[in-house]
Amino acid sequence: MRLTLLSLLAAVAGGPLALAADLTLDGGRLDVRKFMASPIEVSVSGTPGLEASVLIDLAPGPVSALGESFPIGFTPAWNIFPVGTIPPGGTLTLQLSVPSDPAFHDVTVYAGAVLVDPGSPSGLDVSGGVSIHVVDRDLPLAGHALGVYPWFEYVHAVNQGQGVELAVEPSRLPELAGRTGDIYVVADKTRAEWIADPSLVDVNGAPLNHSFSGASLQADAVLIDRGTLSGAAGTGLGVGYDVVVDLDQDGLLGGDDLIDGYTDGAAFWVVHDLTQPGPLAVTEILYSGGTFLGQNTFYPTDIASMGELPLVVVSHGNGHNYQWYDHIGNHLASYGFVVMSHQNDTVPGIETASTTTLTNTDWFLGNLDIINGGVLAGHIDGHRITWIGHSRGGEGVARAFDRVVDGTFVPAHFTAADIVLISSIAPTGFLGVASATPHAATYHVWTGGADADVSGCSSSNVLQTFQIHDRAEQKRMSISLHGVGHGDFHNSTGSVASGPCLVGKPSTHTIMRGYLLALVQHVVNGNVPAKDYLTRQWEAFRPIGAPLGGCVVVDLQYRDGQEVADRLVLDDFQSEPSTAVSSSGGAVVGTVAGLLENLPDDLDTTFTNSGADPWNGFTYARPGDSARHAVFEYAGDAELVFSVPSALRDLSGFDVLSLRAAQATRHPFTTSVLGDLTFDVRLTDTHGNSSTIDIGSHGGGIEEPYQRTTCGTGTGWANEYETVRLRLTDFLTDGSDLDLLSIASVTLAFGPSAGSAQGRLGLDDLELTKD
Amino acid sequence: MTLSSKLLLVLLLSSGLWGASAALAPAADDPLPPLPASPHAASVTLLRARPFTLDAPTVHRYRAEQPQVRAGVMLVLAVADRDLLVARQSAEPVLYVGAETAARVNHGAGSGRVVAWVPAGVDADGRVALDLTAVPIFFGDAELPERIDAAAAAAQLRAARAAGARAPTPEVVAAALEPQVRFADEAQLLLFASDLVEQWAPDEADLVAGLRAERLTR
Repeated sequence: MRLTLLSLLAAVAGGPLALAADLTLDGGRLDVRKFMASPIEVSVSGTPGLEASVLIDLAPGPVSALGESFPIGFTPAWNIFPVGTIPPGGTLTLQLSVPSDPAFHDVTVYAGAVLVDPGSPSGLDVSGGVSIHVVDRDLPLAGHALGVYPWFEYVHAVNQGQGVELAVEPSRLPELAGRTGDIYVVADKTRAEWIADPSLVDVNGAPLNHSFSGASLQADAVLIDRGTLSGAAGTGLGVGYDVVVDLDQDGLLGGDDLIDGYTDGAAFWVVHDLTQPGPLAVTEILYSGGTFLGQNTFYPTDIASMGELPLVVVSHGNGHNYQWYDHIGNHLASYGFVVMSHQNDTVPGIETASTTTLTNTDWFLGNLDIINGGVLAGHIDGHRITWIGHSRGGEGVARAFDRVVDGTFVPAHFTAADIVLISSIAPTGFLGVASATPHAATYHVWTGGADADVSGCSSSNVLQTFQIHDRAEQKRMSISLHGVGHGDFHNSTGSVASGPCLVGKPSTHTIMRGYLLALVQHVVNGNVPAKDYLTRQWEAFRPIGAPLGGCVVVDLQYRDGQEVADRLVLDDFQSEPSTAVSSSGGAVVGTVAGLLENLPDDLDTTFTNSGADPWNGFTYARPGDSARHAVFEYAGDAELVFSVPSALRDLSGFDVLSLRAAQATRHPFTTSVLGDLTFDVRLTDTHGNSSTIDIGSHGGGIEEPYQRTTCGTGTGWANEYETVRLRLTDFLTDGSDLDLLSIASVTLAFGPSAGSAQGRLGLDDLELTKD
Repeated sequence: MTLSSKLLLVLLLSSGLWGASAALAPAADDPLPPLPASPHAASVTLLRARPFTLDAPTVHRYRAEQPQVRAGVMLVLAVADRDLLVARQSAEPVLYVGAETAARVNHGAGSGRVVAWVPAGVDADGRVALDLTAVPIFFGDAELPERIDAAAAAAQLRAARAAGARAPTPEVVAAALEPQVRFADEAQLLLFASDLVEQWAPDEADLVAGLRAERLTR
């Protein structure tokens, strides 16, 4: 029954003065995010004896009326519900259930309480507002158990043959305690498909019956597949599966059932061995369009039956040959890409090399009708172009992009927006910030730690492979391979490697095939599970056939860009030069030693440890670059605390906390213990609640620098950043009271109480992001 | 061990196991040799010289000025110190003919033989005008050729002469010189050069194959 305010006023009959009305949710909160069909406690406070109603609407107030400020917008959707009389204790508490209706997904309901108060001039006492953000019961369920807190890792990708587990943090769904349900693993459906057809058909024939004790996440975790699921996705990457906990056991998704995969993505994807060739036969052709227009192109043999395929252009390095990238061409073409490796004019220099990247891309796109009888015509997607360059070619592709952006080269057949990925393999650094920059393009770099050509030594900017990476303004990634030489990246002879524990060409190519396929599938095709191969610790997760152990050590960097609308940078050290203030404006305090912020550029020409060079080992910038990192050290327990500005404290809309860190090479705190460095990340809310996760909980930590000598005295090569990504909801495990709606600080805790006893670290890109 | 076991062991050693051992052999260090300290003094011997003209001009990309070129001389050189020729991603010693940079066709580290061409003018009779007895052929300081301008090239020539670099003798030039030829464009010039690379630096077969890729035209 809908009442009106006027009818309420009519009930006013004078009386004692009213105490202030108040409305809260779930024990005192004003803003909550609730799953559909989950319980919610509504508390209305005020003068005992007064009649109370609750106003709801889809828009917040305030709206002034009758001398009162109402906390709703009074849209046509508004409504009012009498809830009862305020009891003698002053608080009326109601246990309700959030409605379950797909139409309510991602809807925020605003509410306020209205008490009939004869003592008030208006006759009413109106509370402040609250909000309830309703979401459907789609939450991460699938992943793998961990041996340490947070006890479980929710994942997108599962390697074929690997088991899959399910876990739910009881404190997030207390109503699950004591319930028994049927757990279904089903073929992935889209949201629309689920709404149209909620029936549950388990891919293994029958669901798994499971009881949830509610005691803990660990106690209730259960294996839902032993590795039987197929990952045969053809030219795709990953076969999607959704997971449903059918609590009412009716074989249908509905009511208060739980689901992982209700959105248009799957709960998880099973992925085959990415290092293995794809299903398509490949044709390779060699031809030339003229001077320095020789091209070696790989394409699916049956391309005539296909649509428009993404194009990958490979620009070789100095002294290399355009026929030396068969391992890239054959592999990607077998998955539905077209790869064109071209004759690259590198001997004169980078500008000339960039020209041949540009002219070859243009010539290819403009002459599809004469290449191999026109077989490619109509089958190349000129809006999804990847440029891969090696060595001077690696710098050349960045320079080429810069020239297109700057307008100093105007292609005939493509624009800057068509270059969706630039990937540089061991690029040189001749040109600097004004000329070799990826701007806002998605950028990626490969580095071989044993590179004996573009060695990475600080003796020259030309030799430093990470500088272009840090110039990339938006999405950027890297893979660093210990023990890999310059020549290992192509398929001709010679590794051009120097250093301990060399990996060699065959293993390098295996790593390249798996990682590169994930890289292009994710960036070019938007593939979701592919991202796991770019972000998760290599020690814990990598393509099935990719090597680990022995000499293989792989570090990964990953930073989202503008393609992720929701991203909060807490501190990237790019502004606020004071170490006491983060780039987001919050205070930074700490007990670490020697905290500095500046250009991440080794100040001398060696990696020799020196107190006069606090940036020893950093090869991410040169004078004129804008990159800024932090560096510090500790030899016991210490912390670095980043306060979250008050306007930014609601972190509930983000999925991941991310940062990148690097051990500082040859420093005694780095060399004293050779191995991964770990530390804790602690979130603290405004109520004083905290939760802590060890960055090593998902396997690995911050890698020890590659144990290579020369470039001065000592052992250890250039500082290599690794990105650490922690899921925010993992901080809620084990019943943590942490309030993600009101996070006061992010603390990095170091020392024996938190991980490695001592260390010297570079730090950058502390941010929150959507996954 | 029984006879059959021994035979089996021999078979294993001679087949898969041997292959496995080879595959498990650790990768070896193979760094680049250090750059020679005095490139200007390195011995460079002229073996062949073929003057040429181009119907369609090309750009001499080995100079900062990026001049247009309609003629030049294709050279085959013998270089004693092969460390000068190793391909590097960092700056390499630049090849000069007098105060002009030469455009390298190959690197030549495996053979010690370099194929390169140098721009030249033509006289009133259309003959390529470059007196190879007048200027030394030498390697200069490591640099990106596209950064070298006239002043820098002249400075390199002075340095080379100071280091003792001498022009080829008339006898050497006479023995090397071949009849002038005409090409349609640089692509044809490089196709011709592929024959020279195949003859003088046969280890660079991939380069030869790449230069000889089928030319597509409309």
